[in-house]
Amino acid sequence: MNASLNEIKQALIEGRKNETVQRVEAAVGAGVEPALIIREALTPALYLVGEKFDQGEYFLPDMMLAAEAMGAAINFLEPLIKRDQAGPDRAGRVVIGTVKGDLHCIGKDIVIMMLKAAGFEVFDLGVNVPAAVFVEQVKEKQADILGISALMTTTIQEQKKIIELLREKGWRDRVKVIVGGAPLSEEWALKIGADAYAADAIAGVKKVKALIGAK
Amino acid sequence: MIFEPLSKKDLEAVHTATLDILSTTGVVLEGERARKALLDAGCRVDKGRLLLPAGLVEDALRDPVSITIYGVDSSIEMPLTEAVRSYSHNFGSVSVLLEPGGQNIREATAKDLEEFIRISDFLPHLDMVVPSLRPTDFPEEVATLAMTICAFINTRKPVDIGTASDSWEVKCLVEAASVVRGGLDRLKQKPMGTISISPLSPLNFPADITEAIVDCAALGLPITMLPCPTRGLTAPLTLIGGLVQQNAEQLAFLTLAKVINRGTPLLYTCRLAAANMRTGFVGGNDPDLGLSGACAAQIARYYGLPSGVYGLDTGAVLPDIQSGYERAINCLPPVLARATFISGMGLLNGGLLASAEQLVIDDEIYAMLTHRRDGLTVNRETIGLETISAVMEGDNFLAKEHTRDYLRRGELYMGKLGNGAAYEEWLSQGSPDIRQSVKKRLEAILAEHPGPYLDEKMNRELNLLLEKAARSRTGTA
Repeated sequence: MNASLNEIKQALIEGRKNETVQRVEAAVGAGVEPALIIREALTPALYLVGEKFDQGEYFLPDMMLAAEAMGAAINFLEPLIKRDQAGPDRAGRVVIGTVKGDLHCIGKDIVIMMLKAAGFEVFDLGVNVPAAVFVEQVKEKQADILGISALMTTTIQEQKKIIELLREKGWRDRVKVIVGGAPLSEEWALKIGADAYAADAIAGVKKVKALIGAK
Repeated sequence: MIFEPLSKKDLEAVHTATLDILSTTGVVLEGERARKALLDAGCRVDKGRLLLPAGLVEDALRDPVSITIYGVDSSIEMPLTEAVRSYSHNFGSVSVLLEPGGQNIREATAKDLEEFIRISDFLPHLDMVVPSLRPTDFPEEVATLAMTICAFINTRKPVDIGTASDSWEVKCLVEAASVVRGGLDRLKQKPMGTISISPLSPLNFPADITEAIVDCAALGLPITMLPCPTRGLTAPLTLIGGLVQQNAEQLAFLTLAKVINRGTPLLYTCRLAAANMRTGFVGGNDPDLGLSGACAAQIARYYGLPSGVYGLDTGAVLPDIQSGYERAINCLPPVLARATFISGMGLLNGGLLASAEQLVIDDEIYAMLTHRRDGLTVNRETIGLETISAVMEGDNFLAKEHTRDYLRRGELYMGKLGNGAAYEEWLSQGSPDIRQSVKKRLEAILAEHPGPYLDEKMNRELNLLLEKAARSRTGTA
């Protein structure tokens, strides 16, 4: 059994999606508990990928490929897991999206991938999201963190609007807000009343962890 | 002499791959008017994407329209298609600036923008003025229009009319430019610049963008096609893959504009850059930028189109050593490839910071890089055969007319900023740092250079237009 778990780990570390799923299927076929596969193979492997990234050995594509392999394996395993054994512990709930008028998604998607790799439960609202939807989703998902992305100098004003709307609806104190996007600055984040700003995805995950700790 | 990094075979491969992408993978393209025009012209839909047949694209590429732009002062003429040299311009729309002389940054104000434009108007090697700053004290809904108006008022040079993100912005920008020119017809005859429109990468034209393209093309005003793909994030990581995808974005744009109006003048402007694969940040400290621009200029020339590329770019946050070497590395290839427009004057940190000091330094860097852009003229007279012989007979070079005449004709480049003196002399001048010299020059430019240029009446008219636009935008929001 150890051998098959090691093979799964190795396939995920190298970001080979099809092979990861095949090996997971084979392990399940051989009678290995799905929850065990997640706990003993997939989660530690993804953790190792994150470490390699932190140490500068791995780059964003390595992370993305490993995260996709993880996602595919989880998709296969999840229906097989009994409710009481459900998934690994979550670090927190994040609702995230790109503001109205802005169709850029790459920065946000990198952040989502890194957050998932760090164990967060992430709800992606997509791009061109109206302020009201951000606020509704924060309520509905009982989010710990709201991430608001905007890439253009013309759309960053929407971030301010969303924070104002949160305040208006009485939800501002129940969620931590982090803003991101190339044209932003710490000064801007403070000005619009966000809790944090991050210049890139790595800083973003660190800030989110810090915000969760402070909650 | 023109630097051509791609072979003829390479160019043909780029073209073939581009047609392949457009006809088999297709583009995401929204907007009723644009879709209808392209479907009527023979495009079809597959998996929701629009496929552009090779024949249609090649037909659109035939007979490109020649472009000449003019200054706000229409006696300044700048031929683009027939250009025999590159033109330089500022980088645009930055909200944060570096304060001169230090390391502090702050949000840009309307007054800063006005100063940047006045400095740009003065600098002799800056050819077209792009509003560098997006001041945070402008009402956000009409910031683009306010920036353009500020440029119209404070320079005589050609001006980038603005980057339009929808039809409404096209309408506002065209109205303002028409006021300055004295009517739409005159604007069409003598445009003071182009309107830029930027699709998304990869291969994505949202409805607002196609609406803007359709309106601009219908007017027949020159358009800067401005895709900004990022290698590794929104385009292939390989430089050639990025260039081909960017070319596909250009040709899809061009096909749409030509289907709307065969007579649309188009500029092939490229912003292909690479992301840092650790952070996703597009930092600007990338030695491929220059080569990428040189290749894009060559591809544009292959289609008979004028080009615009990056050149004076850097990842540095200060006008420092890093900024100097990265600018030189990235600006020389497009200068040698004779790209029509070279961007980046005054830019720092991959385009996230603007600096007036850097703007002044860039004027010098660009002057030095382009000093020999026409190559050497080789003949008896330039070689100075008679002069050499006469000196050997007892004359000296300093006393020869050959020396004086060629000096007057600009044979030697004489720097205005950097040190060229011996150590002792430099010490006796108070060991000046380049940034100190630049600061003095900045102050002198702002003190001596006149402006604004437009008369009171036109200023008033433009400001009324701005107020009207602000009201109509807030009304529709």
